[in-house]
Amino acid sequence: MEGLLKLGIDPKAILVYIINMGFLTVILWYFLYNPIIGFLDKRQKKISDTILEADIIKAEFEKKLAEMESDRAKTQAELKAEVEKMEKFIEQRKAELIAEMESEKEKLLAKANIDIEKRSANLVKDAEKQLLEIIKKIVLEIVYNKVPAEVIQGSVNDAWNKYKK
Amino acid sequence: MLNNFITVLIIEITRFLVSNKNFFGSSQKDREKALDEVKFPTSVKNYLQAVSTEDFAKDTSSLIKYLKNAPVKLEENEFAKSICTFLVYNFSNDVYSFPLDYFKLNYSDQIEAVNTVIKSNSALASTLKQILTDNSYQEILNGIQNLAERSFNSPLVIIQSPCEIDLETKKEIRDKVSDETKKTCLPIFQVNKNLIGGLRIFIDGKVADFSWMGRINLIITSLK
Repeated sequence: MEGLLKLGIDPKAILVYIINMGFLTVILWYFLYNPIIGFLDKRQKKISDTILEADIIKAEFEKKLAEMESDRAKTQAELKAEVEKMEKFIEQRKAELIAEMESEKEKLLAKANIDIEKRSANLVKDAEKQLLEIIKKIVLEIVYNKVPAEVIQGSVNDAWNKYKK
Repeated sequence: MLNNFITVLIIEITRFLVSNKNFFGSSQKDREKALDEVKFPTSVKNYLQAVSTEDFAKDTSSLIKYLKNAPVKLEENEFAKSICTFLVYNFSNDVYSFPLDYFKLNYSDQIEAVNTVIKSNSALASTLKQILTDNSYQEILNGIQNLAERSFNSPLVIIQSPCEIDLETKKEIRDKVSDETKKTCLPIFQVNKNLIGGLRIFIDGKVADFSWMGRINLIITSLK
């Protein structure tokens, strides 16, 4: 003991220190450590609850996502089917319209050809008629005022002789 | 238009009968002798020579009704027929003899021309002169044609030519058409320069076209 005292180590102080430390430890254990531990436990529990909740949410979310994905895939498939159906319908309708237009075009062409033939025939007829009118005018121009009076008088007598026969 | 002439003729015949009271009782020869002294148209004289008193009275009465525009039939009236025969075969010669220009002359020139054709100044002749000066060519011929239609049921005859036809040919045409239709016909002659040459003959709606224009039209039609 004296040796410890020479070293400067006071066993009483150490005992007091130890008792103080013990008290401190008990107090700290009671007032600090346990609450802290409790708090930490609570916090940990809370965190693990939260994590669990998050896991549940994640699981649910993933489930929902999966559902959505499957819905989306289903909708997409339906949509694709609809689009294909629509495309087929459009193609079919297009083909029908083209066929109709072709048929109308043929009819119009045939009608136009008939009209053209009629008009050509009429033009030819009109041209013939005009030509005959011109011929008549030329002949009349020649005979009117250009034939001597005695020839005309002779024609009257000839006509009368013809009638008598 | 012919009413004056027919009226004067009836008056002259009445005067004659008054001064020849036994006319209808006389023989044919005596009648002829009595009629030689008067200037009636030959066809009228022939009628008077052959007609009886009753027929003459009937014919005259019917003719007077005709003059008053009554709707009488003249087909059985020999008096009307004799007047019509004179107008068609004698008076029409005077009408035909005038050129168409005559009808465009003034009154005094027409009188002068008429006096050279109808030299007599009797009442009958005066009415004929009046007909020639007061009416157009068409009116005169239409008037005679109307009487001929009523008396003989004559068809309407129109002769179109590009120039005037001479008198002899006109007479020939008249006689030929009358023979053909077996009726007393008075052709109406018209100048139609559009015919150019030849003749066009209309008889009762039917046409015989011997004109040059008709032939040209025929050729043009055949070319179509």
